[in-house]
Amino acid sequence: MFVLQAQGLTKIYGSRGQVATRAVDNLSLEVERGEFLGIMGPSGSGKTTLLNLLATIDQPTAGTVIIEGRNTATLRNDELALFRRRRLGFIFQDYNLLDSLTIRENIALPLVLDRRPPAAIRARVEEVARQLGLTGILDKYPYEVSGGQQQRTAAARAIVHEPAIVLADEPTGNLDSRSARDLMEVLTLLNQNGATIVMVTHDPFAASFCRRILFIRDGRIYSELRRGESRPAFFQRILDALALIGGETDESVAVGGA
Amino acid sequence: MSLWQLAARNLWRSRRRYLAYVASAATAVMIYFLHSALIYHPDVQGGVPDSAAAFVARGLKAANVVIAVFSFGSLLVANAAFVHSRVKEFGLLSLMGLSRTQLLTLILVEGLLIGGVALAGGLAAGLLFLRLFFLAISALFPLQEPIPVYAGPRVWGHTILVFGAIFLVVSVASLRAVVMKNPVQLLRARRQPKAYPTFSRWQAALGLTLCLGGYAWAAVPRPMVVIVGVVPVTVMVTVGTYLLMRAGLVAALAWLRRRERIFYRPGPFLTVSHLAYKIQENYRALGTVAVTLAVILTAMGTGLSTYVVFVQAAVDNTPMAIQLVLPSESDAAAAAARVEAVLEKHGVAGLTYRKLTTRTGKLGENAVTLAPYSLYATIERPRGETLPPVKPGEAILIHPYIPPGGTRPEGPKAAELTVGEERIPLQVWDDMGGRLLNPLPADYTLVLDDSTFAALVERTPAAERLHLALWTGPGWKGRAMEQALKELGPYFFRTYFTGSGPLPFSAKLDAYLGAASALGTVLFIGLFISLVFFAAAFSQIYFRLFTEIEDDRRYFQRLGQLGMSQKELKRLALGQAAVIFSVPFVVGVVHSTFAMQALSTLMMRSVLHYGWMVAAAYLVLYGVAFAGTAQLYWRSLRPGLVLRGA
Repeated sequence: MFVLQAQGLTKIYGSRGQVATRAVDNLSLEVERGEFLGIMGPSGSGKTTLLNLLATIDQPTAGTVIIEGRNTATLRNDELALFRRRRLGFIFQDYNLLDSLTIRENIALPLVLDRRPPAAIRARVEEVARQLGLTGILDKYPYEVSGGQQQRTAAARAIVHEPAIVLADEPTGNLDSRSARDLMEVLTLLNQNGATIVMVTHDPFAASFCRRILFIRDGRIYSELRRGESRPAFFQRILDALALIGGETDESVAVGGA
Repeated sequence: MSLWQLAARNLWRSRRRYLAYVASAATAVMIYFLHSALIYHPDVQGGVPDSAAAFVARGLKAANVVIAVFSFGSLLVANAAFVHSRVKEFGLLSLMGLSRTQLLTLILVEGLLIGGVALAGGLAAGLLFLRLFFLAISALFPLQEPIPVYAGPRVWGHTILVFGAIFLVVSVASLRAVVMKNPVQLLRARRQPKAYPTFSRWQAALGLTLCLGGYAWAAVPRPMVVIVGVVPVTVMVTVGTYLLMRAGLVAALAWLRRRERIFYRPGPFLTVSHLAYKIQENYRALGTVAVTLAVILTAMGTGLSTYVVFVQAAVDNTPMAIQLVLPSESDAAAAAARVEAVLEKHGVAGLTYRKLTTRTGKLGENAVTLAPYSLYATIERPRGETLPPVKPGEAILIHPYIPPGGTRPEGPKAAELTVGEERIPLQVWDDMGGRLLNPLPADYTLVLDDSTFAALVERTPAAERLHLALWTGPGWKGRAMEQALKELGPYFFRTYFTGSGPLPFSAKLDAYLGAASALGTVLFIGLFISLVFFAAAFSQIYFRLFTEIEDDRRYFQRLGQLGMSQKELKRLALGQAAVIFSVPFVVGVVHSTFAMQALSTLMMRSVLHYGWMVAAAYLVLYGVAFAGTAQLYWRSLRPGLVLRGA
């Protein structure tokens, strides 16, 4: 059973008369329930555009995105917002927490927007916080906690309403290596508990936590890796694959591997 | 690109942020200009010094001083806030190689450009409203003839000079924020993340105590207590307001936040937390605006109450449409005939003519005019009921003032009436239902039974008798009556005025117009000043709103990414703006309500409803200004929020 299906996705930037850029070019992919999929590629390969298309934040020039059997192109704008709120979870590179809310309230936000009863919200937030080791800082504000804790809060917010799929855009991009490892372990745990995760990254260390990785180049799928063996071996294969893709090598390769 | 071009571009880019500031400065310029047009009007300068126009002009002169001083103060604060909000941008410019001198010139030029635009806009608006202003003056005040429209070089010169100087000083003063700092300090200025405001319980408690204490003091129903309290209560409530706007609001929002049933719904959840987060940077503006609005509402409420109460008093004090008092019977007959002729000529209808021959006397300390019960029974008076007929040996004393609430006196008191050499003991009932006759010849009127009255007048020597001609009825008002009085007043002045003593002629409409124009002047001038204050107050919150628009956009953008639709975001954004705008208005209304309560004590009657009327009028004005601001705010906010662009 596929949670997400993308068929023939194409996104062209630029208007008539100018040079058009095909950020995503006739790309198809499928994500199964409970998968942990990584999407990798050099800068400018179109991976963030692809994620935005999957997230329904951006509209494809051609092709369809089907989530839980529903074609998102047929939804009106406000239906789409509601769909995004209920069925998708997001983790952003810059956390995107609201400074005006405590950690507890940030995690609760999707449930509040969905008008769940307060008692249920409280119980669910505490359950998620326990899972992610955030219990001690629930009543602090984002600026009072570390970047790693902020990103774990964002992860908690992304799964608190049990979405069909969690989309993560460079979640370790702003974190030091220690916090990055912590976060990836948290995501792995969430995945083992049943969350479906699609993560865009150019950090091979973060990617090595995924079960499957799609490599993208020039808006198309270039190759695919599945993790079978241990994580360190998988990490090595990712580095090899990246070397094969060429383009530019990211500075984070060195950092992530440390 | 020259510095001038750079400055102009900077301003154009943030034109929405500066809009309310420029509009409020322009309002001040416009009103100053209009006032000056009357002050320097040739008719006023060279005219009769005691004319109504000169009277109005003197008031406007004082008003202009207030406007200039207030504008200077509020523009100084506002301009400093502008520069402060852009310190980081200036740091970037100096990092990119703008020298200190160039940077200071740039800021100065920007300030002068804003000032120039405000000045030009204000003068243009002034010119536009000039005709209307003079029309209003001519309509509101009983001038001999309409005053012609005028705006000579002195009016222009004076306005430009005063406001040019204000804008120059304000621009120079704003350089302080930048002049002593190096680029790194400038860049760092706004980088620190905003901390969530903590609140101190004692500050919230102190603020509440000060406000409630001030309210309690103002509500004490004793005039002396109220008068003593004017200054301390104002200080208490002002300080209390600032404390409440920070600590009090934070405490209130924190309380709401703990109420899960209220708080854990989308609107309250986001609004309460976001407002609490914003208080630290906004409480000063909110406090200032609340206090300013309280001052405006109280001043205008007081003006309106005074107007209504005193105009009513003037009308009550002159119950006769026209009253003539003459010592000679033949004079009285001739004068009455003259009045009748003039009334007929101008087509005045609805007046009843009565004759009364009487005399004055003394009842205890008070001079009284004597009147028969038959007259008393047939004349309708402002208030109160007609007392039952008096027997010989009894009398009714009609007091000149109507006590608020209209006390009903108990049984008669013994008193002695002195007329000439005669002393007559009487049982006197008090009637406080308002005057029977116009103030002359005596303030009090003593009503006797008809036979006693007739006998007394009969015994009076002819030289001591007074002949009154009285006109009463609903015809006292109106254009025709006004025309008739314009003819009668000067006639009686010429014919009967002997160089000293009172005029024999008095009319209700004259009393009414006299009071209305004097108090109307106060109200008229107050209205203009209050508009300047109002514009300045509104522009302060407006500016705060637009200064934080970048932060707000980021905030709403995040919510959009999490799946809030644009419709929901708009409702949320405008809802939050509405709360920010309404808090100071509500506080201002509550403050002014207690001030009006204190005024009620002083005036010995409730004037609260005049306060409500004024508040309602300003609510409409505030609402319209907010509706415009909300549209502009959303249009500025929206571009970053559109998530799905094709």
